[in-house]
Amino acid sequence: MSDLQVHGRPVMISITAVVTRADGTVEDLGAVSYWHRSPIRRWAWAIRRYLQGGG
Amino acid sequence: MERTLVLGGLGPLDRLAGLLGQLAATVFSTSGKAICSGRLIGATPSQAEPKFAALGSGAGTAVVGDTTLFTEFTVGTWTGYARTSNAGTQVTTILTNDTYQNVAVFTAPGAAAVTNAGLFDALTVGNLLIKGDFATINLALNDTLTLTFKLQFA
Repeated sequence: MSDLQVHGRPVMISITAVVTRADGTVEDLGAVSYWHRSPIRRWAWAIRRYLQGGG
Repeated sequence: MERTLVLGGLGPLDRLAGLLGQLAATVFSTSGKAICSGRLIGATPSQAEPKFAALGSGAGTAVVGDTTLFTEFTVGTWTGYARTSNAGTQVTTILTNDTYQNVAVFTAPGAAAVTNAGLFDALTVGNLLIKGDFATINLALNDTLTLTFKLQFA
């Protein structure tokens, strides 16, 4: 019997951001937007962002 | 007073639910799935690479059915579309070459509040691959915003 397994979704999507101010100051904002197939990973990221004040 | 006590007695799960309600959303859009399948066909696929990064200033939570950004910068702060064309690369997150990566650099021509971003398959209009909304990033004249988009498949 054949067995076909296809994921309908990617594993992870992220957008990371770094702002370099005109005066040269660098602000690494990290992953500003993130999705992971595992809800635990998503929650961990959300809690970490919340604790860092990143909403 | 009783109402205050009830609210003050929120348990950890309630607090977590409230926290998750504030989550930024990141989506691999429905049109993005079509882009990926289209790129598989032919030696020179007719489906263009979704290598054009875009910024938006509007409010909203991204959902998979979205086809545009929230108030994309197309006029005003940037002259025309604020999209950049960037060569995508394959990078390794877990398995070799399991991740598509696109790095975009934007230089603000004036003050701008960026709230969402995405990748498209054209310099104007086009089809959306991925989109994310996030806490506002405020830019001033000549500030540079570097965004790294990653789409991991394994």
